[in-house]
Amino acid sequence: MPAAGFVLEKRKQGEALKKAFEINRAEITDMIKDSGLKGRGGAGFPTGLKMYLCGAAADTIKYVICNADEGEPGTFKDRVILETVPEKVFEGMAITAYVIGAKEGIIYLRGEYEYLKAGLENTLDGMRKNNLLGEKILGGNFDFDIKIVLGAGAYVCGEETALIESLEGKRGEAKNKPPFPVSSGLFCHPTLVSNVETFCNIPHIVTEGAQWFKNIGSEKSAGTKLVSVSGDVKKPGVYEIPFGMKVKDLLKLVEAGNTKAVDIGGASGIVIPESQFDREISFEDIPTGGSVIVFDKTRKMIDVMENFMEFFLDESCGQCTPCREGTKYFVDAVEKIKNGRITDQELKNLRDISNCMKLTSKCGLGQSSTNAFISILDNFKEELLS
Amino acid sequence: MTVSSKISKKEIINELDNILSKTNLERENLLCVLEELVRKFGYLNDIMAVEVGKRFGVDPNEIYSVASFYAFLPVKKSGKYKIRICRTISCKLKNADKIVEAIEDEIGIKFGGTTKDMKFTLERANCLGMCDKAPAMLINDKVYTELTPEKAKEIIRSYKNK
Amino acid sequence: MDIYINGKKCKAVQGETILEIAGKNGVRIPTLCYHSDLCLAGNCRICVVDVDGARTLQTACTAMASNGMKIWTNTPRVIKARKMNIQLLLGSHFGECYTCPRNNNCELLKLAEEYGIEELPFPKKGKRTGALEITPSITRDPDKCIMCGRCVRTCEELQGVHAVKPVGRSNDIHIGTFFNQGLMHTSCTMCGQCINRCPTGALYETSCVQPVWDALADPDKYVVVQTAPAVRAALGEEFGMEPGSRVTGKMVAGLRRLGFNKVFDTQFTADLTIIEEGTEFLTRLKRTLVNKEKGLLPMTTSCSPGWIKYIEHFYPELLTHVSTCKSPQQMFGPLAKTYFAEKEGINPAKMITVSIMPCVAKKYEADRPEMNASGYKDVDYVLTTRELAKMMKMAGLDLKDMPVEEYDNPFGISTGAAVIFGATGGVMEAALRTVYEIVTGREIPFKNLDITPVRGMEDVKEAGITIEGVKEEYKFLEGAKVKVAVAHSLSAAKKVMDKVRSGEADYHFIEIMACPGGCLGGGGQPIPTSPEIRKARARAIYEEDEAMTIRKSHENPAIKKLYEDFLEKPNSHKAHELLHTHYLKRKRFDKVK
Ligand SMILES: Cc1cc2nc3c(=O)[nH]c(=O)nc-3n(C[C@H](O)[C@H](O)[C@H](O)COP(=O)(O)O)c2cc1C
Ligand code: SF4
Ligand code: SF4
Ligand code: SF4
Ligand code: SF4
Ligand code: FES
Ligand code: FES
Repeated sequence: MPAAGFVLEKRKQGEALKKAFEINRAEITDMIKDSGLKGRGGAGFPTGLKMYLCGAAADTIKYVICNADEGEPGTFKDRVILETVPEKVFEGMAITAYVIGAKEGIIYLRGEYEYLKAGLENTLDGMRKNNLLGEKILGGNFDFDIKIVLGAGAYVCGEETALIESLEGKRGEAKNKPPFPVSSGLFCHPTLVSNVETFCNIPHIVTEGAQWFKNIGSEKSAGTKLVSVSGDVKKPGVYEIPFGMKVKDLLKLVEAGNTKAVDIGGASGIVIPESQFDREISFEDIPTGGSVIVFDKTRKMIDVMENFMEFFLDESCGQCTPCREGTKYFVDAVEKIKNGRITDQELKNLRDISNCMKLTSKCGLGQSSTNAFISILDNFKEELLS
Repeated sequence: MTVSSKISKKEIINELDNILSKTNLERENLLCVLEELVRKFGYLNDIMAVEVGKRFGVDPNEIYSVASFYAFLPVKKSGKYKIRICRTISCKLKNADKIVEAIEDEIGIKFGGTTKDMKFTLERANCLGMCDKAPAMLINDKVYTELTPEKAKEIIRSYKNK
Repeated sequence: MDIYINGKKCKAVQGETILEIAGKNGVRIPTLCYHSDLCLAGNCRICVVDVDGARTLQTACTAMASNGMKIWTNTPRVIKARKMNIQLLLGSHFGECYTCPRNNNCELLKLAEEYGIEELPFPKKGKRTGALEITPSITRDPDKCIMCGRCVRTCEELQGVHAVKPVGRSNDIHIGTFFNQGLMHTSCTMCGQCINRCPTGALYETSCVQPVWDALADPDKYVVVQTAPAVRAALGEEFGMEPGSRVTGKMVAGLRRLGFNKVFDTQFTADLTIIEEGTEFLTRLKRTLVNKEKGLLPMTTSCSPGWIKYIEHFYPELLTHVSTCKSPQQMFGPLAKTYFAEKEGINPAKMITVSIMPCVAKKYEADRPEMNASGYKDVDYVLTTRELAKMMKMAGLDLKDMPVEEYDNPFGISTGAAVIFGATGGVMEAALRTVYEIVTGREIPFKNLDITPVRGMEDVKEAGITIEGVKEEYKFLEGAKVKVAVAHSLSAAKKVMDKVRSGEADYHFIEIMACPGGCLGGGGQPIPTSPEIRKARARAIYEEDEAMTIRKSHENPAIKKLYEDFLEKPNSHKAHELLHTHYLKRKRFDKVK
């Protein structure tokens, strides 16, 4: 395995930006495309393509937004990035802005991370002093600056269109797509929204090249992934793993023992039993925005189910029928399972509701909010229904 | 921060002028201004919505509607210190329930409640992004991690005297 | 470009939605949060369709067509998903259809029927709270709300009032008022446009049907009824007739069979309004042009109570611009209880005046404490067009079977100028027909008296008329160009009034109606409403005007007689006592200190 472990490493500030200025915009876009970098926020959309689409959109005003709303249960890797190498994230944003033709960058920082704000402002000031942000960056004729906006406690605002609504000072309700933000985003201008970690990868790709990046990871998932590991492990924390790592290897790394189940992807992810620990963390097998939660054999899966379903009952924005209404039934179902009173017919009905939510919910929240329920039901049937 | 059950219009206007001297009146700054008001007064009331609305040219009811969406923009009376204990799974695994009990015991209110002196409001929060150091809680913008019931009580006590 | 709907090739234009294209090609896709008057929300998820290549189902109301797109509107998974979403809505919908004002006209119930909903996936949790919010005009029943947001969009986009909003999120989300202070304290104009667009029984008019039955049943009471112009252009819809059916005579017959002692026409007082308001306008013109007084022009109309409440809340400093004339409904009330009562020897204490209105704000207007010029409550009960239909149905009367009958005298005689009060621009047109002729002695120079620039559905219309060859007493108007504007819906009113406030507008006379299309699109009219339906009603109204023998208010013989016998002259002292009113400066939020 090639050397994993660069995302959290410090590097010379401005190097990548300088290099970017030396090559033309289309080439950088191609480079990112060729590298196979996919979004680290969960959905895994190819970042190069996003850059291309946003770059091609005809508008004099464009925005680059860094999604630091990190709200998925069990995810804290963006926090760690912002605590250790914020300047790389900002440099990645600047390169992106240069490529697509944006002058304004925004980092949408979840309200819970308010305590990081002062440090980030410091970093930004430092970069401004070093002419890595602001006007005529590095003496060229590219202007770009970044401001920090705080969220106000709503998980759904991590969804990119809801995030944009929130930035516009509105209720954080997801919008219908299309139009996608790359063509009509903040204030209806083309907007590129990416995750903290995604931006953090960009300076590396620009300096080390696409091929270097592609060599890391698995076939369809280039690069590394930061995973936030918590739960029943000896060494919780953020780990940078090459894509394609098997769950069981990760468990070894974090010194998990007596493991019964692992949740990958947080409340909207799936929960797998020991028999599936051979599976890989990658876009081709089990994707994750970064959350890995480990449960040992003393844990009851019904409690996990309950916790996640209550999470969505709190966090659905409530605007669309399947998500607002559907969520309630899963909370009730947990109660019924607990009391040993759920019937087969009811379980079938729940699957129907779940399908309807997946197929018709307006945004990813409702589309994925029953993943955990269904996977626990499928994978731990005996325990649950005995 | 001045939390009392009555906030005068004059106080609100003074604070608002103060906040607005640092930002402009674009709608995109609305949430930020509301956050500042909450920082100062602990919650948003109808007078604030009217005054903010006037300045931003946004209907006050729209401001109420927007604020009511966000967990951190309370539109009902709320205490000076908002204790938000994470209820999500990783903290749960690390006995967050015990922390809740300890704090409930320390300030004598249940989840969702506010102490009579308007000092503390106790709320549930979803994952705070501190799961590796579970269990965690926020008090206003300060984060506390790897809590034990004793540690939690001590922290609360330190706020009582503030 | 071409797209394929269920395998059939269809033409499409860039920017068209799947729903629009399907509609043009005769493919029905069910909807719930969609409304043709409002911007797109895409939140009910009922209109979902399968699109080749898409992972999830797409909402037809919001998804734009793209070239070559293949759409399937009725695949088993589409039907199953729609059915589930209907079931999910029903699962938290707490109402009983047999006691619901919308039970014969509910979009939710219709969908439930269409999709064969026989049971719900789970028994309903919770039950009806019965927590109604009742105002003189509107009742809100949140238990029946399905969060489609149509009321919110209506109030915001169409009316610019923002009285109702989504509040909270997720499980707690609901439609609420400003800090839960209630409609009566947060500048709701009582226009009822939200009612017309609510798909369910969550919003409806506060009913007066029972007290009217009680009055009709009381042998001691003399019950007279008046009918507003726009009712006759829409009532038929409640009986399955096409929008735009004219049912004046049948309606009169129906009312008579319900037992009203006299069936009168609000159009009579509409003509009277023109005389009073036209005279007031000329006075204001003179005081402005000759005496150089300020704050009198432009003068705005005052017949739309939703508009009145709106300006009281939103532009209280401009209230001097509003004509002091009462609305035709409120002119009728005191005349019935004084002039008519005296003439017929009826004790006004025993008289009950009922009005049939296309409007729910009229209920609030009738309840305003100052509306007692006769010494009694001038208008006792206001029924909407919908409520009248309900009463007729209760009495076993089908409008279609009614004979054509005439109004009673003396308040049954009216002109074409009065009937067009029901359409946007109508009051202006009627006023101009009269004012021009008073000033010049000649008919207004428009072919067939049709003042077309003030007609139509544009939200703000403007016109200018140069006055030449005036009579001696109107010398000050010689050569003047009188500029007028017409606005319907309160968002249009805002456009005009902002200009008035800033001094940018140089209008002399402005007609404003709170409801889109004017009264014919009022909050008490049959549901549904749409631009097409309103156009059809407008057509009926203008046909009615054409058909009238007298088309100018000042030529109404009954009005002339009323002045001779009772009121003396326009804007006389007596007229002022009975027919004019004053307004209240109101705060936006009266509970906010
Ligand atoms: C409910 C919901 C919450 C989300 N939260 C986040 C988040 O906290 N951070 C994030 O980067 N992406 C989040 N996303 C994904 C974003 O919508 C978007 O895809 C992402 O920011 C794009 O960046 P990427 O391409 O770099 O992954 C969320 C999506 C959904 C549906
Ligand atoms: S899926 Fe849920 S969170 Fe997303 S728009 Fe619908 S209600 Fe809101
Ligand atoms: S709103 Fe519709 S479904 Fe609900 S009770 Fe009324 S008629 Fe029945
Ligand atoms: S009656 Fe009119 S003003 Fe009142 S809530 Fe409905 S639409 Fe808004
Ligand atoms: S009150 Fe009616 S229109 Fe408004 S959201 Fe509820 S169902 Fe829709
Ligand atoms: S679960 Fe409590 S901080 Fe993440
Ligand atoms: S009608 Fe299309 S989503 Fe409601």
